[in-house]
Amino acid sequence: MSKKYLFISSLLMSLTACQSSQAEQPQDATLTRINAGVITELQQAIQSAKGGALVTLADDVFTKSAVLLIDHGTGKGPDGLPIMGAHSIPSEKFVLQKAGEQCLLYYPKKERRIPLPNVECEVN
Amino acid sequence: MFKSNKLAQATFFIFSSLYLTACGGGSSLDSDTDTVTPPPANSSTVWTAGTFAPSSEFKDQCAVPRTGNDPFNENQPYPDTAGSEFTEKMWLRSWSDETYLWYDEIEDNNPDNFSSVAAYYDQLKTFQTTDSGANKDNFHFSQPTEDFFKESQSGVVSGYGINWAFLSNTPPRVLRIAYLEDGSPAANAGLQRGDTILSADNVSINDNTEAGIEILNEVLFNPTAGSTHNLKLRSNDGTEKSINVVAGNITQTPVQNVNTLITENGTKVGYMQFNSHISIAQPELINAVNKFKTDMIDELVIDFRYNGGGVLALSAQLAYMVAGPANSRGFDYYQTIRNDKQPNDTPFPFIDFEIDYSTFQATNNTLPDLNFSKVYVLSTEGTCSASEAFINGLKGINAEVILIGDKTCGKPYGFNPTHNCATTYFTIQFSGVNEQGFGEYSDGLRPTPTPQFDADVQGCLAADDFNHQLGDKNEGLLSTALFHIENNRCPISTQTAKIKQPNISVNALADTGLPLVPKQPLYKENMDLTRPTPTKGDSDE
Repeated sequence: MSKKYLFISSLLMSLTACQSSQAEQPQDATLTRINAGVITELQQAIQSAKGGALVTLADDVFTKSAVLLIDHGTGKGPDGLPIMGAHSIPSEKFVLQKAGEQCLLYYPKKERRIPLPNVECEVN
Repeated sequence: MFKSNKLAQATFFIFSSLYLTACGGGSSLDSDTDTVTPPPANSSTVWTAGTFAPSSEFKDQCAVPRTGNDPFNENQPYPDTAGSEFTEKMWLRSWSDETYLWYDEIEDNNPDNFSSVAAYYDQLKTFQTTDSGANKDNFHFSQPTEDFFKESQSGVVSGYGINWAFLSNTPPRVLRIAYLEDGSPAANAGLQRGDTILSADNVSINDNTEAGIEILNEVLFNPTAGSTHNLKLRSNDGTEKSINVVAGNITQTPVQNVNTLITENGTKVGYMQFNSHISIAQPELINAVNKFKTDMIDELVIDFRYNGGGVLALSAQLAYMVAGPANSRGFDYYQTIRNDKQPNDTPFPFIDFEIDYSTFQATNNTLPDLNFSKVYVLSTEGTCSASEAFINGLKGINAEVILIGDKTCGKPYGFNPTHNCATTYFTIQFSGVNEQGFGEYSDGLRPTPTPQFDADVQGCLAADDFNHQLGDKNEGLLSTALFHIENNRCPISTQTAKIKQPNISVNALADTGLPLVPKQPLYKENMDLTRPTPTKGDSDE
């Protein structure tokens, strides 16, 4: 009896733990509120993840898609025309995610997740 | 196809790795301190005409070496060591001799005769001309490395979402709206293609003072995000409108106006406007092709008139989606040709799989295709680089490309940006040819009903028509294409049409008065040759 009870209890506990773990599993998300402060927080999170300068983001970043690709910036030659040529640096990818109530910025390249405490988002 | 595709993917992997090795963002030093190390001893510190030491002997020997760590290279120490302007010039000289496509056309002038590194670099190129008399090399640039590494979200531009066409860039100036980004402030304000700008913040478009030009440049091309400005414009129907519009950081819509048109004789024609080869265009192109498949189109018109280029892999994907496996199997899309001191890369194939552009790895998703052996391309002088590669790549497999519009810009060249002493240099290092070995179209690919020369493409001359919206069957280029589809010839009226396309630099030089200087994103008029690599776990089959 006690062995059987112990087994069932263990099974239930493990199922509960599994369910809890699944609930906390980060899932792709989009922003529910966007303003200058949110964009600044995202820019700073991106910079802390990959280094470099602050990145220019669209006014509607992460509102239509959970995925963000970052390319090289702009620059012009002496004739006023753009000069970008062949280069070997791929776009950087970031993914907005939500785990529990927490929004996160996921940087797959380094498998880092950066909490975004002042950002509101919802799972897609 | 699957098997050969796997081979192609493996090839990508190998050469992408090489490419990354050759062109990585920076080099590392053994030291992690801020001290500047002396240059390595070398025996080539004197210029001797015609004698070139390896560029590696002068690399990173800088007149003003940077100290500290490089935020764009994993915070590794800067590679700079103490050098001089002479060592920087000597590096440029040797590097150009090693990699410049026409290195044997560079005059080996004494570096000491030039007052600066920049002045010396400016003449490290060919000064020969093409058959048309144009400069052979119009793409010789440098910029601060910090600027090169500045980044922005893919497909984001600052402003109102207006793409201007410069019909005249000096007084009397004529700037009209070429197209708008979907959902942008300008689109939401009711502006339309064809609208002509009259003034910006009450400065006339014809103002020719330095102060006026400065305001026009800022308000029209480089407004601060969040700032509000007044634009006065005249619509195509002659009415004038004044709007206050707030600038922002706008997401581009690289694929627009995807539609299936039906001609009078019942032909189903797929049309799409493809503005730039940027990574975010991939799903939109796939959606467009899927729609055309569902609609069972008979003909396809792709509007490249404002597409200045970008990622070559994307154009190879689009070419595959048009031609399909039956027409492209086993053929090369693009082959780089370098100088005789450099090994050539493995040819670029027609790409039949989706790419993760954050890693340039192939995914397991295959692309849809139309299996067409014929495609109509709408072009102007703004059709450049990767867009030209699309035309040339398809011609290389004997697909019938009908070119409607003006001749293209003529940029079959590319370069690997190379960093030295806080400057990034762009010198032409390769040209690209198609399956048949053709790639000499530096004067542009020219539409003509009677092709005679290699750079001639079957088609019709026609003028960009700002009086109609893009995708409108009555718009000049599209209507010409539709006429050709129905009659297999050009309409008489377009065969003698005089074209005046908005070419900013040409107009700025040719006319009198002060030109406006627009800000453009980097990928316009250029080609990014980054190659996709196979998915993890793929084998070399």
